[in-house]
Amino acid sequence: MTTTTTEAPPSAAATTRLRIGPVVVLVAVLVTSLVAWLRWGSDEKAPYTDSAAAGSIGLCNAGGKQVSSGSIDTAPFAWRAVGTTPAPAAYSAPGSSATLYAFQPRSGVDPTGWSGQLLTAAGRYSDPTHPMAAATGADVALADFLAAYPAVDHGFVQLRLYLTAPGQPPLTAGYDALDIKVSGGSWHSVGGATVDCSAGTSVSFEDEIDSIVSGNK
Amino acid sequence: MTKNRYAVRGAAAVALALGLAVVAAPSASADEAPTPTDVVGVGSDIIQNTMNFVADGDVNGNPGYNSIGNKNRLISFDATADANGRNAFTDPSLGTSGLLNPTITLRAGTYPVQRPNGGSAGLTALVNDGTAGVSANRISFARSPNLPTAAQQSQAQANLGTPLHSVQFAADKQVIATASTTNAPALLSAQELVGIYNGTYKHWNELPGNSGGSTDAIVPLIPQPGAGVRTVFTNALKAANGGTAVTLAATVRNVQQNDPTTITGLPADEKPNAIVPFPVGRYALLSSGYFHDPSSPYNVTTPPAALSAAGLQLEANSGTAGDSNPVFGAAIAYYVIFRESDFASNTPWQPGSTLNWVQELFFNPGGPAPFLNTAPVQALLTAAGVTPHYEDFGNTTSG
Repeated sequence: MTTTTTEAPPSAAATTRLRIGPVVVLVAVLVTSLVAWLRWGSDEKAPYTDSAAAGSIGLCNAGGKQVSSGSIDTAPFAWRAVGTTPAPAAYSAPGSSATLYAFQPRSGVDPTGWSGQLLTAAGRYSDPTHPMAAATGADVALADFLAAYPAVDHGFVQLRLYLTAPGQPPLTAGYDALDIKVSGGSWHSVGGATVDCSAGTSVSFEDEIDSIVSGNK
Repeated sequence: MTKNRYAVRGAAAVALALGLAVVAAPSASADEAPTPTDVVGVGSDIIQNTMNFVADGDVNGNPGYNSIGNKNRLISFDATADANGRNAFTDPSLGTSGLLNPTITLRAGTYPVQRPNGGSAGLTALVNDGTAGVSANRISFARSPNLPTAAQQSQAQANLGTPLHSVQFAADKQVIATASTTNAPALLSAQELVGIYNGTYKHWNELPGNSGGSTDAIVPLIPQPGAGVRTVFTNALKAANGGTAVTLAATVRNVQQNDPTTITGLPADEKPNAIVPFPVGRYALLSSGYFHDPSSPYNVTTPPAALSAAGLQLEANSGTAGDSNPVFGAAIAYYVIFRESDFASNTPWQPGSTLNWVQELFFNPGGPAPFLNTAPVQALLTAAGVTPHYEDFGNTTSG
């Protein structure tokens, strides 16, 4: 005797759930990926490693919101750059500052041999646990850097945050860094971390001098 | 591109000198032997501190070009063998102390040569950095407060095979300095200075409108030959003398340019009677506390005391002198002067760059702003007590 067991056919509601469920999951994954891509860039990786890069950098716009993409022609490139690594004691004294640099990765060349330029002047930060550089309207766009140093390694540019303090040399042995990728007229970050753009303040040396000059008039 | 947001602020210069006491503090350059691909500058004493600022940043953490850490560096040799800007003398223990001719090694692997002391000396050295149209390229640029003369341009063409190109990046002002306690009138005009430096006025009470003044002999001092600021001063006297160069009286003494001790170090009877042309920018730097007592050995625990401009004062740069003429003041332009061929070069300077060294540092029309004309550098210049002023002078000549 053969017994055949047949499962009851699913109800219409169950059928709908079965069809929608994977779609919902898929959409959720896509949305999550899209948000992640928009926020931190795609899951692509920079084609190099920099052993001196201790932490990451978050870039902030004029409204104090973190950004992960933009136009290479926007000047300044970013209004604030916040490091994720607290400043060492020697760079936590009053007057300590952070400066944002752009460097040009070149395949086969150690990061210590890359060429770079300043994107901002030094910015005096108020909170050493969140060292940050500040830009002004007179600072350059990323396009200015790229005109001198094209993004020749798969479109990548490395941003570095160097700390300095009165009487101290620039802290270049270890720094926070962010990889960004340039594509056409835009850039987006690759990797990165969430930062609080308003965790303290940073005053550009350019603004500091402006205020002193104005005060002397 | 970067805007010249700090331009035209000359009126604030003196106030700035005092107001920036905490901020202004460029680093001094080291005496080192640059590599063949470093950019090497020589020349003016008055421009050396601001160029050191541009190259290496300051002691308050504001970065200069070399702070980036690029392979090729900007090396700007000071005018004298002393980072405080004083003359160097032979060791007194070897006999009577005499003025030294300090040397520098322009490039690694070359022998030491006489250090160009001043803008004119720097320009001359640049012009002589080649022969028969072939450059030796040991000197990349000269710092000078004066443009090349027509004769220097011709000689550059003959020696280097290229004319010289000048770019102004800052403006300063030369005024008259005296001791804090002085017999000099509060204001001296260019016309009165003509009379003092040609020997017409030998005593203070001989000056127009100053018959009640001191009967002491005036001690007129002038920066040494080879100093660009000497040329600035003699050109100003010439202009005030109807275009005729002033023949200096025998009483005029040559002194190291921009050195306050040329007055503060005088005997008590001469000090109140001495005058010397002095740049406002250097006075600002002195007032900032950047320079420290050189008689104290280096010691982190007990650092040498900061020097100041104490004992020296500048005459006001506006007002009317006793002869009813405006008070003396001469503009000092801060030029960098380089080979035209270096600007035209297709050889990138830094690894990976599209720019030659002139485009990267000094002059890059139609491209990204050269380092010298970026906002961070303009802030550094302002902090040094000078006014950022960026202007291309091409192959223009003067004198």
